[in-house]
Amino acid sequence: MFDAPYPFCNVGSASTTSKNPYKKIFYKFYARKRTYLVTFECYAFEVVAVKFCDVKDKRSKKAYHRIFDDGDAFRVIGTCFYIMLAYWRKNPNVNFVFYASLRDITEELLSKKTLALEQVPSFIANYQKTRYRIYRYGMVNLFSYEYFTAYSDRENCVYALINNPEHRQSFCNHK
Amino acid sequence: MKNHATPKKSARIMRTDKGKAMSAKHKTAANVLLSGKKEQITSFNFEIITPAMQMAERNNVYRFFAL
Repeated sequence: MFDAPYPFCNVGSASTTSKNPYKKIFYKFYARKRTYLVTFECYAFEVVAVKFCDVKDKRSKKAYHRIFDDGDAFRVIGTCFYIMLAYWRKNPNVNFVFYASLRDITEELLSKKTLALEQVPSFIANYQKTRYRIYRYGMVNLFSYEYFTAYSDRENCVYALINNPEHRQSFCNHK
Repeated sequence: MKNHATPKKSARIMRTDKGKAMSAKHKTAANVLLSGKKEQITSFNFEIITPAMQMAERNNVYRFFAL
């Protein structure tokens, strides 16, 4: 699922006019039907927020809400994980965080489902948080507790990987 | 489509390296999270995923990334 990333490249970075994020780093890769732009926003305390969107949508308000039926979603998401790996290798003290935006649900979709009334709220919650569940699945499977402590907020769809100080210590000693 | 090719730097994006600093307010991750609820303060409720939870939850097909 996540083990066949597309080739990617770093396309530059830019400092911002703010303290947070103080810098943005850009990567891009060509997927099956479109080109993706991955943005790493660098915040204080070596926190990096990861975002990706179709490069054509980079100025759109809906850039991070759109979903494409290209048949390569896991490969696209997997590529973002491999970009995180590349960044982590260069910056071993990095902490990663992501917010998975909610998936839009329509009345039309709900009307097509044959759900009991009491099942509707849980179906809506699960449907809206699909992105979060997929990203979390990748994080849990690829980023080990030996290197990061994982913090998960299901309610707000936020996930954070905080560098383990013990590992940081051993890494520094090893160096 | 330039499928499976290693992408090249585009001139437009590269210009950010040398140009003026960007406005940070435009679509930061925090803005995406807070969109639609500007007046609210988000209260977070983080749960720590312990090693035991992670091992129970994960699919052993995958290998962890390592430095």
